[in-house]
Amino acid sequence: MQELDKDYASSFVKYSIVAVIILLALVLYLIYPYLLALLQLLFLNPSAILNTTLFKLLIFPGLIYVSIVALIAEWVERKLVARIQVRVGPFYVGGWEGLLQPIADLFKLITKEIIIPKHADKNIFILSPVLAFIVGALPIIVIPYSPTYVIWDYQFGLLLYFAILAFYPLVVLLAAWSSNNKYSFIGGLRALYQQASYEVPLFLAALPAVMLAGSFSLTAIASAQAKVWFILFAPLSAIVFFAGMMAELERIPFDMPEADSELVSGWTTEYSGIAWGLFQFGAYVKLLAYSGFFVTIFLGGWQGPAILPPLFWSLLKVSIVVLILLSVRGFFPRIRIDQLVRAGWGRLIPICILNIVIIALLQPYIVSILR
Amino acid sequence: MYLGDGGPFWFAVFLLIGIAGGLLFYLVAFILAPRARSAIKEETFESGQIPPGGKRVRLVMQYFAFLLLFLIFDVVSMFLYAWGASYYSFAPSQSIYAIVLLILLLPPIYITLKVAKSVGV
Amino acid sequence: MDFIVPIILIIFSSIAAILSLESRSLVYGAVSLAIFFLGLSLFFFYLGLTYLAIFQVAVYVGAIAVLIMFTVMVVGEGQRRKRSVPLLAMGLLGGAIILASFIMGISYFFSLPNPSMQPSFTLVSLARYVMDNYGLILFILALLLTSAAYGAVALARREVEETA
Repeated sequence: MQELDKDYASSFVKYSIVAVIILLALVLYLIYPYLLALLQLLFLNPSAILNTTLFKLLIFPGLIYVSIVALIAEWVERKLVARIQVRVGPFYVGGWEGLLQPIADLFKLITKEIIIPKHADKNIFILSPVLAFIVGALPIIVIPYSPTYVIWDYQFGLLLYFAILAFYPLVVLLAAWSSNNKYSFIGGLRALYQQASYEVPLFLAALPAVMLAGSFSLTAIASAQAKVWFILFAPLSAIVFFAGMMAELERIPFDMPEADSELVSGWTTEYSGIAWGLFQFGAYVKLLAYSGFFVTIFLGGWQGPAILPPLFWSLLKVSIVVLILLSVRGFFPRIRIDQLVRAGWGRLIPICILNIVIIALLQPYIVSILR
Repeated sequence: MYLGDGGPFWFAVFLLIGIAGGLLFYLVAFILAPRARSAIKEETFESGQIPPGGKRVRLVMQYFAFLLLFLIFDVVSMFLYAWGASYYSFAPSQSIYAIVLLILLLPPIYITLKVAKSVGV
Repeated sequence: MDFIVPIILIIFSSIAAILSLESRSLVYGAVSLAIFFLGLSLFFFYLGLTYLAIFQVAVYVGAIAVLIMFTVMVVGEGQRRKRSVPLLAMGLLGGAIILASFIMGISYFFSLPNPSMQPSFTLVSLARYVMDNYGLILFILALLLTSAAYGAVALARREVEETA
């Protein structure tokens, strides 16, 4: 038998315990005054808590909301796709229709052994799922669910969103290479080609929203849709953005890097246990971030009839977009890589450019409608 | 710290919480999960047999030209976003350069796709 | 003490750049190059040039660092070059001189009577100004970039024909 590599796990545990303690201490030091203010408000004026940034960051629309919705989305996806495929889906765990299945999966993944392949680059191998999760979760800071429910109303929110998502090809490349598996690496390169091919249509499809609102801030873009939603001015861009969104999330029909009936797991093959779990969790959080983004720039964010509060409308729209994204999985076959590249560059970009040129040429009329 | 009370502060806090959360997941897993290392478990997955080499370079470099094209379109979209943000202050006749530029972005794509097809990728 | 943040950012970026040249593995070097670009972009954020900072991340880290890392991973690690102490000493001296000049420049900037951190233009006014006066030049610049795309495709085609 060959020799085993040095035991990386024990040294990693030591370093990461120290790192987690330092990070949490730093976080507590930074948010200490806000935490005190929150606790004071809890006793004096509970309803004002909903306005504090700390609450928005941690609970809604921040970390806990996103985590819970990611778990629910996983369950909904499995049930929905199962019904489309005339089967039952998760059934046993939990009282009704397998509701606790995602939590059972989480426990299973946590208790699975983490196997680090031989001669893999251990540091990058262990840290790339964490990086993937962070890159997927960071954009939720700028997404507005209502004029007040936004963690950071950044002046350049749309660009910050794209800048964070530009990190993802880097993460895919690192994760694929560090597995020390030739086939995972090739799969990761094909995932990189897919991501790079569909980022340009995404950039160009978000341009009409910036043009029509005159600002990069997501709350300004959503507020500018009070009279007419932007999807009516830029329907082609909305379709292109939807397709590009599916490709960036590596969902079916753009499932080629994963292809779990053919390549086991694509570029995440060598990741076992919670490492793979973090990739999947990050994918669902990214799904929520992208859906919120789509709703904000094309479907009017929180705009809706004033009978119901704006928060309800934005949650309704995000739910519809997420449901459509999840259900598409049951309907379409997988696209080959050459069809994918041809579609991304050869068909989606001209449609985007057509829409931008139309909006640019019809500028006087649009000004009279929107302003 | 200089970050102030505004957005970047919460961005940094979010980032730190995210990193700590990810590492915490790993820590819990390393505590709860069994660890039974063996040489055969740590071999990389190759579906059993190792096929003969040959077409691997083609698979790797298949669409490299599109990565270069992506770089160029990324830079051009910087100009386009600057133009787009000031859309309301231009009449259509004044942004003729941007419109012609947009249309002239298409031929490189088609030429690259045609070369890719003729090569057979 | 006003300039503690740019100094921290410069030191962070310099360490990342030095690591990217001197690290034992080429891939680690490419990763620290990406971190260097990120540090530079944070510096742009500090200077108030937000648009530039965000596109620095999107273009440099998102495309250029990916290309460099792709090349390093595909081509593989080369031979390690021998370390030479005189070169190392010269490099450290040059780096120290550059660092000192940055620190002097920043402290001079802050010692001015009224240093303003916000640029005196907005993105919209800048775009307006550029399009009105330099529209044709911008257009030609973008055409040059697309001709680089033509060149890349032509090179790839020739390589493929040679190996086919």
